[in-house]
Amino acid sequence: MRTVAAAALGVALIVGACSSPAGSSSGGSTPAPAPTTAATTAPTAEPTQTGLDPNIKADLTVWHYLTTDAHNTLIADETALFNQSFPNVTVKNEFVPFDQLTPKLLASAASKQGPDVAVFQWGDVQSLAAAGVLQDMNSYWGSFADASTFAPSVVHSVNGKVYTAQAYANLIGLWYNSDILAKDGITPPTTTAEFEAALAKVTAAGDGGLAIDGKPGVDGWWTGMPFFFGEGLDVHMADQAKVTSVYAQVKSWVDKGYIPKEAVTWDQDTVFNKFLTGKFAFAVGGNWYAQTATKATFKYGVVPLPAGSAGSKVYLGGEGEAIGAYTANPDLAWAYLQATWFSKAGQLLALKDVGNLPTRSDAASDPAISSSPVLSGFATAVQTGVALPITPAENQAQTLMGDLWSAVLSGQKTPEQAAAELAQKLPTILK
Amino acid sequence: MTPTSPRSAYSKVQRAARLALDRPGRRTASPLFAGPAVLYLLVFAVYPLVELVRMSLSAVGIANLLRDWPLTGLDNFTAAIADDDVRAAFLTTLAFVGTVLMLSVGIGLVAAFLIRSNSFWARLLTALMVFVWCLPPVVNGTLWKFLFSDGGAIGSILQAVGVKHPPFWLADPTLALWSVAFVTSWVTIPFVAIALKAGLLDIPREVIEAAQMDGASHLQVARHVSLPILRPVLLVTAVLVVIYAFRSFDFVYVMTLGGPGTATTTIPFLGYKLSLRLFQFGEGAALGVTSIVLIGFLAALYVRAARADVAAK
Repeated sequence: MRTVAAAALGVALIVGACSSPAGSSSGGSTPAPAPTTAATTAPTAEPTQTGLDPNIKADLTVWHYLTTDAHNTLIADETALFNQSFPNVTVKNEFVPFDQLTPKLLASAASKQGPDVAVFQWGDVQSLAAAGVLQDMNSYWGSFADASTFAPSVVHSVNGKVYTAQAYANLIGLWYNSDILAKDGITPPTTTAEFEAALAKVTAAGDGGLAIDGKPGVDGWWTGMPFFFGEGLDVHMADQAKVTSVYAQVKSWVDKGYIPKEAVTWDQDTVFNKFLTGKFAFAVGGNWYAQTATKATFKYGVVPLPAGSAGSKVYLGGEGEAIGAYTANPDLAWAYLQATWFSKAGQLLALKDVGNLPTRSDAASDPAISSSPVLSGFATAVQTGVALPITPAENQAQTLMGDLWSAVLSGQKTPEQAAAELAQKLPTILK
Repeated sequence: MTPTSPRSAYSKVQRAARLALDRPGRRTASPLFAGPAVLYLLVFAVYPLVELVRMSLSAVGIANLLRDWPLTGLDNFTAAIADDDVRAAFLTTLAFVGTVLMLSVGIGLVAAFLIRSNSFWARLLTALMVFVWCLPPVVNGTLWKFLFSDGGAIGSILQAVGVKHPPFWLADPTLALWSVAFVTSWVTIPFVAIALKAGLLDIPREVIEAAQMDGASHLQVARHVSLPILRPVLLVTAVLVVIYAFRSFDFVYVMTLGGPGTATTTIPFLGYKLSLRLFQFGEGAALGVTSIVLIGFLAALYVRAARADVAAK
């Protein structure tokens, strides 16, 4: 049965091996960093605590879905960092498209195989742990001397056992074109009301309004949920009237031309590419575009997403790193994680190469963040971030919310219909 | 001497072949030759199919995918029938299949008449169509996604000829399905054209000439002579187009991801979403089994139509 499950998933992977959705829901596949004060010396590996022979000869396989040039640079740098401590270990970094990584992990586990290390969307940790795909690293984390530098919110447990931790946090904010704002006499908005007024002004002046991801599924959920959080709603979306009101407001922005109708076909990367054309005053995008933004021919900045009375809140995304359940050498896998993604040096590499925000307190205070107007804006928003949902039911709810976000923006459903459908289906899904 | 018609000559060849197969010692060899193919089918088709049916009758999620599957009978099927999303996807699929069928067979038939001759332009058109047909669906889908996009070639051409606000081909929920269906048809038309061309070439020249000598125009010959003779081939081709359109997934995935909203979510895409995005494997399998039954019915129609075509010859 397991073999057939593996075969079925394998066939499904072949069938589904089309172009993967650009980016990831937790924000990750676009070019890199370059904070203004990047470190000029190569990072030095910190000693690991595994007691392994540093001259051990072995192969270590790492599966990930990071695909941009910046991420490739990061992965190469992390590998080089690890090889400082373990020069005879060959790290094989294997790219798997974002939407195929979880199915591939499941398929390989069916035949008791899989990577030594997985870099994955950490929101799937509960599902993957339940499926027996990941190995709990409770004992390793318990004896990890630097564990206290990680905020509890980035260390994820299932049934009391640590399965993954985030090496960095990714989140979205409101990018703005300073030149357009200056031309139209606007300051970066902080509230929804200010935002709507700003959109009205820029579009009246003939400039583009807001570029935003309106695709169905996880894309729409990731981008749309902060609009509801800002009005005091949570994942249960219990106040139907408020939900309707948020939908109606965003739909009105489409009707008034503040948001292009075609945004329902845009993913995160497309949104930011549209922003880089210089035609849009605003774009909803993540910190991982910090390096991409350096290609802009205009001045830009970032502020937290404008919100209503409840204040700005966005999901804290970013990949989680974990040990595969069927690794032949869990100690070596842990040594790899400890030397790279979970180390200060490794997290500073992610900051330098991509613009990912470190989760270690000693790395998060690096001057590269505070001296960067872009990254410091995002770092501020981390303080009010919302943890990703992790249960399978919440995964189902994500898809529903994302589909309805896209349906409302496109006009397939009215705000009232979408709110009613949420009210009808969500309680059953999340019970 | 009465001239032998192509059809009666074909029947003689068939009878001769059957006699050759019935020679003593001939039959014992064939099961051995079929063995590897049968084994392949058993391992890679029959066994997974049996397990798919078992999954559809069980409660299977990500937590127990690699463990035991408790049988739940027809719960997944009844849940699917009661699910608004499944019903909506079924209606979407019907509309999609109908559009692809009409466009593919209609335009394919016209194209078949155009490429029937051996002229340079006919051969060039055939080569272009084969090229389109051979392109991977991802390439075709991505190409058309760019063409349909805001600022894409189609919108730019329409604006150049005076259309101030070109349609949102993939962003408008009422247009998106037809746009994806059009692209699917665009890929299917070459297949239909080539299949129907073969049928047209099989029509005896004397029949056409006789009609022309009686004063029939090209259009009348096509309508009253060619099409009736072509009917069995048309039916076979139409069934194949319906099967292809029904299970079409790649263009929806590449171009719209089932959106905007759920406007282009067809049954195959919904099955993918349930199984590989939501990890509701039991429900996804139930949808898959339902699709297989429907396609099996269409395949039976195809076989029946194909046999009728051969018998007519």
